[in-house]
Amino acid sequence: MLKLEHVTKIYRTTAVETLALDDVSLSIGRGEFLAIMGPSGCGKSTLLNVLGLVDSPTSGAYWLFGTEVARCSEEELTLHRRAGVGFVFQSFNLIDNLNVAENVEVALIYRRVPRHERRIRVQAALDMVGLAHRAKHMPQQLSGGQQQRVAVARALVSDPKVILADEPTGNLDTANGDAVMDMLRRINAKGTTLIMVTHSEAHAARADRIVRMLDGRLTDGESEDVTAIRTLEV
Amino acid sequence: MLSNYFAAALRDLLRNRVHAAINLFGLSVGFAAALLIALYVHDQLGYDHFFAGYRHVFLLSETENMVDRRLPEQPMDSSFPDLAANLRAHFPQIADVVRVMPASDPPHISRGQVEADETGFLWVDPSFFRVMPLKSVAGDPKTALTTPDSVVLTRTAARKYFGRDDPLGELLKVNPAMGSAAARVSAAFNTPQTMRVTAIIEDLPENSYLKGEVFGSSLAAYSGFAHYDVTADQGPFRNNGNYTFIRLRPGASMQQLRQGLTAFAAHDSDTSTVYPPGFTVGLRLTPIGDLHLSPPGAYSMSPRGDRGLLAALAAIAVLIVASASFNFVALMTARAAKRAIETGVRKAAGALRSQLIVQFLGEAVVHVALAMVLG
Repeated sequence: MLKLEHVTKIYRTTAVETLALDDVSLSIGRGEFLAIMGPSGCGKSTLLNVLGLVDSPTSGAYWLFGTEVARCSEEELTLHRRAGVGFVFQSFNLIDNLNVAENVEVALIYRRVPRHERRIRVQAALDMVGLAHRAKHMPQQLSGGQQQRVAVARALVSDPKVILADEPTGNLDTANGDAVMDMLRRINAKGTTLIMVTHSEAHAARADRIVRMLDGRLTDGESEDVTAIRTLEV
Repeated sequence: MLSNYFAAALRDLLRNRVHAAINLFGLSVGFAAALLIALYVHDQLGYDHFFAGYRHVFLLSETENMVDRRLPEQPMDSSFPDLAANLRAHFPQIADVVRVMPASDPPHISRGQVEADETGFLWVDPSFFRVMPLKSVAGDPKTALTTPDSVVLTRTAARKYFGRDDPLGELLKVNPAMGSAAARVSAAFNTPQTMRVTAIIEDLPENSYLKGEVFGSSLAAYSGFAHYDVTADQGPFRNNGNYTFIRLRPGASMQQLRQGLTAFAAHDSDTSTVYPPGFTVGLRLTPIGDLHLSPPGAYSMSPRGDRGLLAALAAIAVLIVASASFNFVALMTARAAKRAIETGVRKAAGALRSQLIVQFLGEAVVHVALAMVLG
C-alpha cells in the first residue's frame, strides 16, 4: 500500500545541508499498525511528513496506493492527501477559533462533502471518540486528552486509508495516553492503516511492527522485508 | 466552506478586539481622509460638466490693449457686449451665443411680504438655456426669456419668493436699483418693474463658474444690457461686466474657428463694428469644462481653482492610503504567525494553496471593506 524505495531527504539552506533521511526503503501493508521509534532528530517526523505527502523526497521513489508520488507537484500531493490521509499531531493542533464540531469538519470541507452529510459524519466521528456532547465547545474548554480525542475524530472523519500519528500521546498523561491508544487500535482494527511515531516503548509494543531509526536511517534490518505483519491485499 | 472561514475570522476578530480596533481605526481614518480629498478633487475637476454637451460650450474672453493709453495687455474673462451679434454673423461654426451680465448692484425683488436684495441676479440673453441647458422644474427654459418682462427662477429662488416650487406665471416686483446716475438716463433703471415668472429650473450646482438664482431677460428696457446701450456716449470703457459664451455646432473645426477669431480680432480700426479705434484685441476660447482650472483672467465671475493644489492633494490622498495600507499589512503580518497552526492543519486536511489564499485574503478584504464603511 505504501512503499518507499531508497528515499533521501536533504534540507538545504545557504549555510548548511542536513541529511534528514538517508536511503530509506520501507513497505507498509494495508491495515498494518507500524510504530516508528528513535532518538530526537533521527528523522522520524521527516519520514512521517514524506509518508503523509507534506514533504517530497529529494531522491528515491514513493508509491502511495499504487501511484508514484515522489515527483508530484504541491497541488497533486494535496489531492492525493485529500484522497486518503489523516493526521494526528502531538500538540493536538486544534484551531482555536473553531469549536469542536467545526474542527472535525475541517477535514471534510476540502473534500466537497455536502453540508448535511458533513453534519452526519462529524456527529458519527465525535460519537466514536465519546465527545458528541462537547460539539459546541471551544478547544480551550477541553482537557488535553479530550483535545487529542477531537484530533483523532478529525483524522478519521474523512474515512482515510491511512492515519499518520506523530507522538499522539506525547503531551498526555498515562491514562489519557492509554485511552487514545485504545481508540487508535480500534480504528486500526477496522482496517485503517496506522503509522505512529512514538517515544513510548509501551505504546510502540501495541503496534504490529516497530521500525527504529538513527541518523536518518532505518536500523535493525527493518528497512527490508516486513515480518510478522498482517498482510492484506492492496 | 465559507461558513467555516467566516466562523474562524469572526472569532479571531472578537478574541483580538484591541488589535482589530487599531487596525480598523487606522484604515478607516485613512480611507475617510482620502475619500474626502477625492470628493473635493472630483468636484473641482467637474466644474460645469453638468451642462448637457458642455464640451461644445466655451467662454469667449478678450485680451485688450488700448495702444494710445499704453495699458498693459491683460487677459479678461469679460468681453464687449457688442461682440455676440457679430459672432453669429461671421462664424457659421457657432450654433448659438449668449451674453451673461451679473447685476452690478443687487436688484431689489419683492413679492408680498417677501423682499430681498438679490445678489444672484443675472441678465441673460434669451438663448441662455439653449447654450447652457439646465433641468426644468416648470415651463420651458429654452423659450422662457423671449419676452422683455420674463424672468426664470431656480427652485431655491421660487421657494424664497413664493414658498413653493412652481410659481409659473406669477409676478415679481424687480427694481434694478442702478442708482441715481442711471435713473437720470431712464427712471426705469431705478424703479420697481413687474416681471413674470416664465420657468423654474433646478438649482445650479455649487461647482459652476456661473452663480445665479434669478435670470432676467436682456430684452428688458431696464436690464444691464439696456443700460449699456443707452450710455454709449460714456465711451468704450464704461462698465459692462458682460460675459460671452458660445456653443459650437457638433463637428465644427476648432482650429478654423480660432484662426477666424484671430483674424476677426486683428481688425482694421476703421472697419471694426465692435471695437473703438486704437484698440488691439485678442480673442480666446476656453472650454467651460476647463474654465475653473484655467489661468485666471481679470473680472472673473467666480474664483478659479488651482491645478497644482489639486495635484498635491491627490498625492497626499495616495500617500495616506498607502500609509494606512502598510500599517494594516504590518499588523496583519504580525497576527499571521499566530495563525500558522491553522494554516498547517488546513493544509494537512487537504487545502490547496489557492484555497488558503482565498481564506486569508478574504479576511483582509472583509477588514478593508469594514474600514471603508466606517470611514
